[in-house]
Amino acid sequence: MAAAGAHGVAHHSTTGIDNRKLLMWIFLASECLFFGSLISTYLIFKGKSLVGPYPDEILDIPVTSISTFVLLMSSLAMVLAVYGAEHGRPRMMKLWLLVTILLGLTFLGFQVYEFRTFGHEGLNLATNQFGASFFVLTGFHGTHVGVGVLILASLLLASFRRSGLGREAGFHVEIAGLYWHFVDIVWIVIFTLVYLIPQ
Amino acid sequence: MATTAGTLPAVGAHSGLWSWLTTVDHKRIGALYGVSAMAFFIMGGIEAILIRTQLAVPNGTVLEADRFNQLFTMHALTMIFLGVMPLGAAFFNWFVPLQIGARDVAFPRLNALSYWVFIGGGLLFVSSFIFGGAPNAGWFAYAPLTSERMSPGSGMDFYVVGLLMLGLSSLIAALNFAVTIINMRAPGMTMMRLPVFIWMTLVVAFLLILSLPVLTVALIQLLFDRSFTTHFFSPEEGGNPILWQHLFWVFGHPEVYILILPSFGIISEVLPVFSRKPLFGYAAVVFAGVSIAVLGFAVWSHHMFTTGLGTVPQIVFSASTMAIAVPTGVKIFNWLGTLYGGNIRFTTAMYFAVSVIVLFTIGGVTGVMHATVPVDTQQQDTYFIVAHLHYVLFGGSIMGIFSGVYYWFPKMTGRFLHEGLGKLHFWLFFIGMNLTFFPMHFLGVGGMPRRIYTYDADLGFDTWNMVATIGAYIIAVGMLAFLWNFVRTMRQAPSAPNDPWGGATLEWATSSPPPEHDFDVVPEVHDRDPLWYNRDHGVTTPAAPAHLHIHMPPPSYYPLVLGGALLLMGIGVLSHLAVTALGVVIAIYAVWAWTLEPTD
Amino acid sequence: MTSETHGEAQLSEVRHIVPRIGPRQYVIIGVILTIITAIELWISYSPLGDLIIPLLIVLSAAKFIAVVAFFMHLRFDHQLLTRFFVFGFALAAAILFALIALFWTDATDAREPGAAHVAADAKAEPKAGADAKAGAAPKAGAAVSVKVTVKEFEVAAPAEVAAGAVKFDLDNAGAVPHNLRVIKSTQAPNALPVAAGAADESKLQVVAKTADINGGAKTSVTARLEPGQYLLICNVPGHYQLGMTTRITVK
Repeated sequence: MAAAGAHGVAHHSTTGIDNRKLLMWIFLASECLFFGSLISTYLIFKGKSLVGPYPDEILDIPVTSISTFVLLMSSLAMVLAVYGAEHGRPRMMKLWLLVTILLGLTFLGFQVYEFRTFGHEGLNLATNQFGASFFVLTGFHGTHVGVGVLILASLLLASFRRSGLGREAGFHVEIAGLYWHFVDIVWIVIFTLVYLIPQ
Repeated sequence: MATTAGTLPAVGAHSGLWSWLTTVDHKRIGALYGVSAMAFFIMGGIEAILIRTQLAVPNGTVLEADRFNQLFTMHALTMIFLGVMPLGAAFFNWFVPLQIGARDVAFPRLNALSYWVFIGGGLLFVSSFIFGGAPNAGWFAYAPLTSERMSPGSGMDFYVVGLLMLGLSSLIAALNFAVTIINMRAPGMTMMRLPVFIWMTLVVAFLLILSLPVLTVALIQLLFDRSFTTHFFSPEEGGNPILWQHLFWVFGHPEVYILILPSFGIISEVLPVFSRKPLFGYAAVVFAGVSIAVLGFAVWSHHMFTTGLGTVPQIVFSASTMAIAVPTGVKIFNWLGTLYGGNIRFTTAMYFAVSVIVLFTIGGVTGVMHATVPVDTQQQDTYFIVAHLHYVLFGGSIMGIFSGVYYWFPKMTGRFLHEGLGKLHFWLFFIGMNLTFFPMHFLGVGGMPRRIYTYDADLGFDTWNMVATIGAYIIAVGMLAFLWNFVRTMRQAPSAPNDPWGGATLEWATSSPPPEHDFDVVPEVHDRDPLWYNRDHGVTTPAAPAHLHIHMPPPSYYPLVLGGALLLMGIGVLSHLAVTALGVVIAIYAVWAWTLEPTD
Repeated sequence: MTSETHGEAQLSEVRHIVPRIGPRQYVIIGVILTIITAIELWISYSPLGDLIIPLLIVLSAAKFIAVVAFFMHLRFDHQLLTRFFVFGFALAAAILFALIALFWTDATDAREPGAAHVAADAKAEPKAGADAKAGAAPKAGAAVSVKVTVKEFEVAAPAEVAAGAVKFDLDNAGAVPHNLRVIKSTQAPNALPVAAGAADESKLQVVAKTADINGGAKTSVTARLEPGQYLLICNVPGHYQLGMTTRITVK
C-alpha cells in the first residue's frame, strides 16, 4: 500500500496524483475564497467613498498596465524555469528562476511606488472606503507576491548545492510555479475590476 | 505504547516529554488534541456554570455585567473552537488513517504543526482573561460594537489574533485530511466503500477549506478598523456593519455543519455495530452529508433576517434553509432504519448515539421554525435560539462525541471505560441537558432576550431560569462522573482485544492500542464494512512476514518551532511588532530547515 | 520506502506528467497574453460605453483560463485537480455575486457638493434678477430670502415660503460642520430612504444643496421652487437620522 512518507512522497497513491500537488491545488481553491472576499469588499464599497481622492482621479492606468505586463511575463519566465527543471537543464532552470524573481521584484517595486504616490496625493487606509479596500486588497496580493519571491529565491539558492534540487527538481519547481501563476491570475482579476472597469 | 503479543516491535523513542513534543504519529497527535480539548471543554463548562448561577435568580449578584459579557462570549468561543472542533480533530487524527488502511496522514509534520498552532492559539485566547479582559462582544462579534471606539480594551484584539491562529490550525489539518482521504486509501477502498465517518471527515475538511478564508478576511478587516483607522464596518465614514455580518456568517453557517457532521459520522459507525446490522441506506447518508455541506453555503443570511435584508433575500434564504432540513431528515430516517430490526446491544456508546437522534431532531425542528421569517422575527435574540443551538450542539455534537469516546476508548487505550459509570454519566447528561435547555424555549417565547446579565423579578422568567440552572449543575455532575471513570480506567492495565465490539471497519483489525505503524498487514478491502465482509466470506489476513520492516516517518521538532514562531507573531500583534518580526524570522528558518530535513 | 508488497498493484503509480508543450508554445501564449492586455487597455479608454465591462470580463477570463490551463498544466493533468480548482473558484464567484446583489443600491454620488454649487449660486442670482427685470416671473422682485439655522441636531426654518425664486440663507449655529439639502418630498420628515449612513439622495429629488460649512459659518443657495411639500435636511452622515430635518411648504 502507499507508504506514509513524511513529505507525502509516495511511489503510489490512490489517484496517481502526488500528495503535494493535490495539496497545492486544494490550497489554491481555498485562496480563491480569500481573494474573492477581499474583491467582494472592494466592489461593495465601489462608488461609496464620501470624500476623495476617488479612483478615477488617482489610479494611473498606463503605469499599472506596465506592472501588469511585468507580472504576466514573470509567469512566462516561471513556466520556462519549470521546463528547464523538468527536462534536466539546470542552467536554464536557474536562469529563468532568476528572471522570474527579478520580474516579481519589479512588480513589487511598482506597487511600492504606487502606494507612496497615493500617500503623497492624500490617499491612505483611513482616508475613505476606496483607500481602505484598495490598500487591503492590493496589499495582501503584494504580500502573496513577496512570499512567492521568497519561495523562488529559496529554490534558486538550494539549486546551487552540489546535489542541486535533487531527483525531484522538476516537481519542486512545478509546485512553486503553481503558486506563482495563481498569484498572477489573481492580479488579472484585480487589474480588470479595480483599474480597467469604469468608475 | 503497549502492543499485544505477536505484533512487530515499533521503532523510535516512546516515552518522555521530548517524544511527545516531536511526535508526528497521528495517534499521539490525536491524544494531544483529545486531552487538550477535554480540558478546554471543562473550562467552557465552568463558564456556563457561572453564567447559569448568575441567572438562577432575578437580579443576581454573582457577576457584574461586563464580566458576564466576557463569560458568555468565551463560553461560546471555547466550546466551539477549543472544545467541539478539536474533539472532532482528535477522532480524525486517530481514526482516519486506521479506517482507510493507511499508516499515517499524508503530511505527518503538518499534522503536528496544526496541533501546536491550535494549542498556542487556544492558550493565547484564554490568556485574555488576565491580560486586560476577555473578548466581550459575543462570539459573532458584531460591528460596530467591536470598533476601537466602542470596545477600547484589548479583548477584541485577542479575539482577532486568537481566531486567526485557530483558523490556520484548522485549515492546515483540513488540507491534510482531504489529501489523506483522497489519496492514501488501501487497495479496494473505493470512495463508496469508505466508512461514513471518513466521508463526514472529508466533507468537514472541504467546508473548512472553503469557509475559513472568508472569516480570515473579516478578521483582517476588523483588525484594520481597530488598529489602522479604516472604516470597513463603522458607519461614520461610509462603512457598513452589515458587511461584517455577511462575511462572518458566510463562514459561520458552514461552521455549524463543521460542528455537527463529525458527530453524525461517529453515530453512523456506532449504530450499525451495536445493532449488528449494516447502516441503512449508505449511499443516501453519504449524499445527504455532501448536500448539507453544499447547501450550507447558501443559507447564511438566515442569521440576519432581522437586519432589513429586503423581501427577495429573505425569501431566498428562508427557502434554502428549509431545503437543508431535507438531507438532515434523510439521515435521521436512515439511522432509524438501521436500528429497526437490529439486534440491539445497549452499551453506553449506543445510549449516547441514540440520544443524538432524539435530541438533534428536537433542535432541528426548532431550526425549521427559525427558517420562517416572521416567526424568526419574534425568536431572534431570545432564549428560543439559545434552546435551539444547545439542542443541536449539545444534544447533537457533544452526545455524539461522547458516543465516540466510549466506542473507541478500548481501541485508543486498550482499556474499557466502566459501563455502569458510563450509563450514570449518560443519564446525568441527558436529564441535565433537557432540564437546562427545554425550558429555554418557554423563556424565549415569553420574551427573555439573550445576553442579558440579569432580569427583574416580575417578568415570569424566574421559575424556568432556576430549573435551567439546576439542569446545568446536573450536567456538571455528569462530567465529574466521566472524569472519575477516566481516571479509574487509566489506572488499570490494558486488556482489550483487537475487536471487542464486533466492529465492521479496519481499525478493529489491529491491536488495541495499535502499534506505531498501525497495521502489520492491512486487510483486504472488498466491500463496505470490510471486516464483516471478510468474516462472512472467509477472507483472512495473512500474518506478517517475520523480517518485515515498516519504516515510519521520524519525529521532528520543526513543527513545534514553527508553531512557536507563529505564536510569537500573534503575541507581537497584541504587544510590540518587534516580537512579530522575531517570529517571522524564526518562521522562515523553521520552514527552510523543515523542507531540507531528511525524512527517511 | 516500504518493502510491503501486499496489494500494491491495485494503487496507481504516481506519474509526474510532463506536458508535451515546449518553450516556443509558452512564448506564443505569453505574446497572446500581452496582446490581450493591450486590447483591454485600449477598450478601457474607448467610447464603447455599455460594452466595456462585458468585453473586459471576457478578455480577462480568457487570460485567466490560458494561464490556468497551459502555464499551470491543468489541461494536461489529472481531471480531479481541475474539478477541485473550478469548484473553489465557482463558489468564490457565487458568493461574490450574492454579496454584490445583497448590497446593491443605485450608485450614490456621495461627493462634496462644493465648487459646483458655489457656481450655481453665482448663476442663480443674476437669473433671479433678470427675471425680475423682465417681469416675466409670476412673482415680481428679487428672490425671497429664507433664513435656515442649523445646529446639533435640528434645522430651524419658517414653515411656509412663497413659490418662485427662493434664496436659502444657511447659518451654522452649531459646533460641527453641517450642510443643507432642499428635497421635494411629501414623505414625513424622518421617513426618507437611507443608505450608507445618510439620506439616500439618489432616490430623492434634491432641488438645491450647499457645501458643508463649519460651525459659525454661513452660505446660501437659490432655487426656483414650485408649490408643494419640501423637506430641509442636513445630510452630513448620521445627522439626518439624528433629527436634522424639517418640513417647509411652498405655496
